[in-house]
Amino acid sequence: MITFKKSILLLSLIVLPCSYAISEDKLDKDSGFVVDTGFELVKANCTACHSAALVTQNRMNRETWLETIRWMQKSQGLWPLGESEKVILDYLAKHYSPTKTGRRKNLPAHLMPAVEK
Amino acid sequence: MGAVLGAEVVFGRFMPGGLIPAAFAETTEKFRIAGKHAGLIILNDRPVNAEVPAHLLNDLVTPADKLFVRNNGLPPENVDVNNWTLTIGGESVKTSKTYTLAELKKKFTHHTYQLTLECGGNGRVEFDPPAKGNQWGLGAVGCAKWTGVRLRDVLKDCGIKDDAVYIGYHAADEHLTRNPDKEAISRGVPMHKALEDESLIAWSLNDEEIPAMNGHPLRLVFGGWPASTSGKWLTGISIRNIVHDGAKMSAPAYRIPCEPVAPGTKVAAEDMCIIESMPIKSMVTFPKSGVKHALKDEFSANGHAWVGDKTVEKMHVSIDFGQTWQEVKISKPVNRNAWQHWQAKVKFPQAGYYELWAKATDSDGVSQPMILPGWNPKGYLNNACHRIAIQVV
Repeated sequence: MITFKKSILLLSLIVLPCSYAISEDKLDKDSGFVVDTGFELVKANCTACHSAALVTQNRMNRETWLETIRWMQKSQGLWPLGESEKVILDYLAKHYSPTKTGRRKNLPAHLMPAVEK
Repeated sequence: MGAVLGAEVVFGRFMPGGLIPAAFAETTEKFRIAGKHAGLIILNDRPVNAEVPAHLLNDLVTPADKLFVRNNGLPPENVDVNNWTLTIGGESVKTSKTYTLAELKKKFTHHTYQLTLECGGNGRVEFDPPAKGNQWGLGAVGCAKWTGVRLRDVLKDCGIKDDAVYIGYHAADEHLTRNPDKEAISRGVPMHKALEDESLIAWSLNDEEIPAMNGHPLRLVFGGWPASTSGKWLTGISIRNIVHDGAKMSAPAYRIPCEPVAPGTKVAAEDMCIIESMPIKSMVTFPKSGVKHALKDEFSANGHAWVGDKTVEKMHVSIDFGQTWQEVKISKPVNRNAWQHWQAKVKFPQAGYYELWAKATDSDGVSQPMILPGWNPKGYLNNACHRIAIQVV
């Protein structure tokens, strides 16, 4: 189990070294999506056209995620999401919303000197 | 197409063939882009987008395997070099002509320049509130040696009407939806940039064929401007009597607010202006951030600095978060639009944690901000000082 968790952490470092704090969330091993209600719908509808990483590396509030869906429907060939839309928005707003960072973050963990204890 | 289809039906059709093994196309497993260094950071596998960690950009001339990849669509497969053509057209061309690659190489004089290409969104990851799109760190930049013919020579061979204001490119990559009526990207530059000596139609990078993901067999190269103007897999150029209106030319793509705005502001399309020459910037490419250093020794660091159509005049480093700055050596550019190289030697006053900050100043006296520069909706042009961490023991 420990090994499994480590490999998830390692993967998230490789894929998004400059982005966000490493979370304890369980990630879907195929897509990298946080495993929670609605993630299968997001995976099925979003990764038909683009990489899952285009979702997981972004941070938007609910309104902006909806704007993005509308833009994809208008110009990128995304189909109507029907009843799934609310579930998808709930999921995206819960797991991929902006976090407060200020004008300049500290350097990410992988660029810091090794800490000796 | 696909408007009312369920996801299950279309899923398989959109899988890119050839480029990425199907089994990897939707996984977080690290995959290699053919011909690229294993250390590249893959931001996205469809479309393929990958940046280069700072410490891998230490070469004076960026090697082909360490040049970033920013794709908007799906690159052409099975490129036929012998039958590749370039067509010059548009409202403001006197005579539309089509050239084969061999004709281009034979008819026009060859030129070679080192040209800095940087993605307009390089550094996007730092914006707050965040901007959507690929969350580039700082490695969507490189300066390689490009060989080709001058765009000017080819345009003049066809004739440029007096009303020409812009050129727009057309390319062989497909839109992500594979809809043949949509171009993945079709951008351009005003005539004054198109007609400069260093504006090339290139077939060679560092004396070899251009890598597949960087536009093989033919691409435009405009150093110092957003790399999105340097169209890859080039098949056509339109000489326009209006500002080019191709895909990703209209707001908000590759535009920033014409007037500065507060973070998070919504900006109307008509108040967004096209990005042209890129701002002053620098990076520390040696040593790698996180290094341990002995207090008694002098500390050496180096990197590159660049700025759109100007030159880098001065280079400074700071080890006290910008309270004091030390001027360091900066080389002259080998040619216009090439990046320049700096070297610093520093003594630390006592053991502890330090950051080395690098700051370049251009020929107009404009230097880099230490914090994120002005916010913009799409997260372009972050030229905040790069810094590395050092543990002095």
